Amino acid sequence: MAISIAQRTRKFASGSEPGAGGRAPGSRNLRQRIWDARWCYLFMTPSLILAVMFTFYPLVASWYFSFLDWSGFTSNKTFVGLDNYREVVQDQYFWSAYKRTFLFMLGSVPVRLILSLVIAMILNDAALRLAPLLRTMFFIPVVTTAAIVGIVMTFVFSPFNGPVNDILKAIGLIDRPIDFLGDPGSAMWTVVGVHIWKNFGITMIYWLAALQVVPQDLYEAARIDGAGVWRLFRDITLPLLAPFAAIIALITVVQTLQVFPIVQTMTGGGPFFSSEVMEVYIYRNAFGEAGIPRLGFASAAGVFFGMTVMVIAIVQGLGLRKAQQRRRDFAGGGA
Amino acid sequence: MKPVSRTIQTSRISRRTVLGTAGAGVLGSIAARGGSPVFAQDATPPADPTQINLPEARVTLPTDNVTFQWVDSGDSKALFFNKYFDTFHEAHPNISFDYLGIPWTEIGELVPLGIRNGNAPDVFQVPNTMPVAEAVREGWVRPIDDLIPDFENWKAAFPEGSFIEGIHLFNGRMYTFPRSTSKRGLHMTFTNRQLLAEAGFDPDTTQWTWDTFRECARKVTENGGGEYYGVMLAGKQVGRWADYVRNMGRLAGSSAGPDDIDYRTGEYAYTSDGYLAAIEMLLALKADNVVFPGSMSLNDPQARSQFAQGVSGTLWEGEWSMPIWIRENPDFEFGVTPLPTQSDTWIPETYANSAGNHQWVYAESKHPEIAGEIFSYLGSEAGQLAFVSITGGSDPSIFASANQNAPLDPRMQIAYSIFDDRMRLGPDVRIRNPDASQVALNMTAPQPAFGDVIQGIYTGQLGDAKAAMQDLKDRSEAALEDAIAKAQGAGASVSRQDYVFANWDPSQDYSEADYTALG
Repeated sequence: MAISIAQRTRKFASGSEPGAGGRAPGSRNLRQRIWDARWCYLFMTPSLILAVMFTFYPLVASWYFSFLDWSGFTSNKTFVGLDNYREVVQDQYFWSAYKRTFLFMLGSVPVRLILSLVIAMILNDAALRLAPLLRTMFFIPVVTTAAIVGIVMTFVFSPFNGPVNDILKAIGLIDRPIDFLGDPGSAMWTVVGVHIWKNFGITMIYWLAALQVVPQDLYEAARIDGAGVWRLFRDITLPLLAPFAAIIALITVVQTLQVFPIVQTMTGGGPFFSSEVMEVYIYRNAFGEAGIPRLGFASAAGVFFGMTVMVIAIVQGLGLRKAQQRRRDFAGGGA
Repeated sequence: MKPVSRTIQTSRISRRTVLGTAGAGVLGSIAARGGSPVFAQDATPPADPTQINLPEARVTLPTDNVTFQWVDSGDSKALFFNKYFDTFHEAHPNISFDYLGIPWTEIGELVPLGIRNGNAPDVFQVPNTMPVAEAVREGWVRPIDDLIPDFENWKAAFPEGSFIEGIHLFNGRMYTFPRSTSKRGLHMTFTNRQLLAEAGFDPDTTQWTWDTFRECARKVTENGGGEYYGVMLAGKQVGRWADYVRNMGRLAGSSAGPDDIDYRTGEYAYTSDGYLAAIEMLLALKADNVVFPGSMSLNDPQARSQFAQGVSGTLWEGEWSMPIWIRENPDFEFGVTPLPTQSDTWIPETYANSAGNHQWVYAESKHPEIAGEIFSYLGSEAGQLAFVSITGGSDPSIFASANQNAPLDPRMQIAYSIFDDRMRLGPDVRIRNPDASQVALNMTAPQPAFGDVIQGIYTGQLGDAKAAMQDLKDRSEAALEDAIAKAQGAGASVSRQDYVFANWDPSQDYSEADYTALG
């Protein structure tokens, strides 16, 4: 006998398997469940080991180092408690780097999200024959090495025979070359621009994946009703994309807070710290470009900054959950 | 077993060139060994100083298969060591060499890691962010005086005062030796002959004062019309800004050591007339619009290679650039002149003996006797001559005879004569008081440092140069006082007075007698 759609939906929503013996879900204990999934765990083990070695252990180690006055290579580590944190909080260069990191984020995230969404929507149109080619083209910068891109860009933006300046001069926008990376006012924003170019491809892919959730027949129906492009976007795409948007935004924000290779190779944090973001600050202190390296101090700066990022992620997560809750309430009440 | 030699270069020396030179060297030494005597004690230079005549081994070398690991900062040194290790391996096939020439940042990672794991290279260079005294104190390295055969005679061949307590000697033992002299560095202007000739300046005969220099830069820029400029600065390399101001400031009379301390008063020279005048000079060049645009994005190697392409009339750099241009840009006509001075007279620049470029033997090395044999050759006149000849002279030898007899480019000889003319050895607080090396260890470098401040003044981010330099001086004084206090707390007997050398005359080398006269 055909199961009604409602029944099927209820089963699907509740997540229960069509069990042979009619067992109720949740009655199998934890051990049984782990044993059933043993192959999954086995295959996950190598990744887990690597993650512990290269992510979790260094993370915990850095918490420990942040309490030490240590250069990183000698054997005399002195426990200094919270002294490093105190020094970090009092360092104006730390707060400048902090501010700049968030400026970098605020300058690049909205542009990246919107730009990649627009392009994703254009490429989502199945009728566009060049879509796969364009998708690849936009994605290629993502898989390039950031450090190499940074070095190449120093030549691209050079005020001496650099292509960007040549083009701007040729079309008459400027008559003297602009020192993009050497002028403290423009150095960081040039890096932001390159960062956006390099990474919007991945955000575009996320949006493309999210857009697959939107059923095409909804668009069809709306078009028949006479809705224009803007109405389609505002009333169909946007509401359905909203939960994805929150996650994609979070991923993009976190990614933008970690831009070390491109900043280091393009400007090194200069000129005179005008493009120094948090990771460059930490690197400078950890590996001592002037004088003895201070691994303990740099670890404290890193931990402090990491806590901030975590707080942001938590706040965003809470906000997301609240929004979903509200949506569920609204949807549940309406049906 | 074939020798394994890997070289990771920062400059653009191609692997092919290096291997080709090494191969030629091997063939040459096989041919040469046919008739020529062992060179070791011979006084006459060999017919071709770039051939290595390996002396007979005077230590008991191992007879089983051994791999000896050597790590240093590569660059032109690699040219010598690749050839040398190939020759050595030919003579002693059971000994293979694993030579790594890597940038200083990687040395800073590899060596401490190796120490921690107990498998550090047999011979390495101490990371340049670490005072060498610390490496000795930590037990990373071992003495070499019991490794080198016929040690006393070997040591006696070195010039007077080559071995310094706190740099080479610790507690009466010798841990390293000076392969090259510290009398070198960024003390010259390189000129593009063609561009200067067009502007009407002969680099060799012109008396380079700041005014002449500015005028020349203006003329070259005018001629260039946007294709080339008068001056090029390695603006991204923060340390260079400090070099420019320090060196020109000192020539202008504000004498100080390489650490910017004026030993006559024991205070930092940041607010001295000479330093401030040098900053004004840099700003004047900027105002004249004679500086290569994009200088702020150039680091050292980039500035070097761009200069060789004819985009600037002048470049302030060090002697190590010459072999690179000679090899990679053989058609590039460049001249070498001393740095411009404020007026027709100048005071010599002060240098100090540094252990930065030396080689050390790992305390747990399994075959230190091989190091002894290598050091014995490397520290001999023959070895030094071969080294200077093969590397093209970018690391001038501690032996004057090696520098004179090596077949060097005449421009390198000009550089050496500039060093002789314009550099004098200064007092060293570590010699006066070995406990002073504890101060260096406890020093938290002021942030922003000297180079950062000059960079900020140049870009205009620090509007008031005098105020910024005063601030730098205050912070540096505070950092030094702090480091001294910490060193005293750790038991060192050192004070601020140790930095005052009342009998210092910057125009003379500071000698043993001067230290004694201090009392």
